[in-house]
Amino acid sequence: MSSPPPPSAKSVQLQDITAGTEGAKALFPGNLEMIQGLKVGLSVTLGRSELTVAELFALKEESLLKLDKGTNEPVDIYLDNRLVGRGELVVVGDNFGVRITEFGKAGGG
Amino acid sequence: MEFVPYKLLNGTECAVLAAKASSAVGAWNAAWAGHAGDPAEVSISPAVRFAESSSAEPEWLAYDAGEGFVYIGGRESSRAWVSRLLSGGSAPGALATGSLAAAAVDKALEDLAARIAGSPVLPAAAMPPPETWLRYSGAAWIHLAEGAPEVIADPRITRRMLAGVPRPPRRGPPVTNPQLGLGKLPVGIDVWLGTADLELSVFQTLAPGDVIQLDSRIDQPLKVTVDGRNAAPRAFLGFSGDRRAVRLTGQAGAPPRLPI
Repeated sequence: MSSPPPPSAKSVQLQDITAGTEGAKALFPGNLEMIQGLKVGLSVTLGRSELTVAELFALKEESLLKLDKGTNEPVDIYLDNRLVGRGELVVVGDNFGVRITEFGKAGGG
Repeated sequence: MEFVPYKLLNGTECAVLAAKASSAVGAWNAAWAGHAGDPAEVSISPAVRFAESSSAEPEWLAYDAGEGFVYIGGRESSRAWVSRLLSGGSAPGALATGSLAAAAVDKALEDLAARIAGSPVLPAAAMPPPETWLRYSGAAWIHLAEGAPEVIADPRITRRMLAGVPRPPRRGPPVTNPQLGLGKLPVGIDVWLGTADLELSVFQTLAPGDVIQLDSRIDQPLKVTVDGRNAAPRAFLGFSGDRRAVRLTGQAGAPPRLPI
């Protein structure tokens, strides 16, 4: 029995294309439905400490660093380096957590 | 161009153009060793070191530099060395015994000093006091080290020897360690409670009262960033006075410790 002949193959010739004119109709007009599964990474910071380089280099094991936040102040919630909310420090099981006390609204800039 | 550091009798450091001093000694060798007729190759050994302070057997020469006397001196052993050199080593000490031979040795030493100093060397009218060797800045010292003559000269002689020699351009004041200027620069350290990955659908519904579980365990130290960059040390959360505070640790897997 003879094997079938191999399919013929041709080289691809790409065409030079350009973008269309501005002002055309949007294809994805703010449609969040299709990206509902997208992961959003939130980061929560406890506070910060401003040091000099000399003080930084002087830090040792078990050095104490005071932060700029009081013990009862809320923690800050960031999305991509933008402050989007604040909350209360809590424990959830064996992990830290945050109970939201303030959260930015969509379209709020 | 090689400048060789030398130390004066009074401890002053100076520099001598090595080639110039060596050529002077070489010329002296050729002139005086040639009279002896024997050594084809002059050996400058063993080393002869001249006493810095008062000596029971001072042998010295004085060079009038025009700015005060410069004394060049040494012990009897230096005369013996020159004597051996002049006699070709065939009669050690022979030339140093008679007054004529002693005068020849003196002449040879004078010539050596003159060649090095670049000017005639004149016998001083009187021997300088012993303390001169310690305090007089004009003292010069011919050091016949093993295999290589060295010259220890007054800075005034050095300057004259180096006159006309192109010198490297004068440099500005020395620069300091740049890190010394960084010490006062401000830098921010942030302590992070943790992160959480939420689906967009969940994120959009977040509202006050909702609780987000973070990825950080309460028994593990927290992440620290320095100027926005992750840092190796981590931090245990606590408080100090009325402020939130952390205790730093270099160990990521430190022993469990409850926070706050």
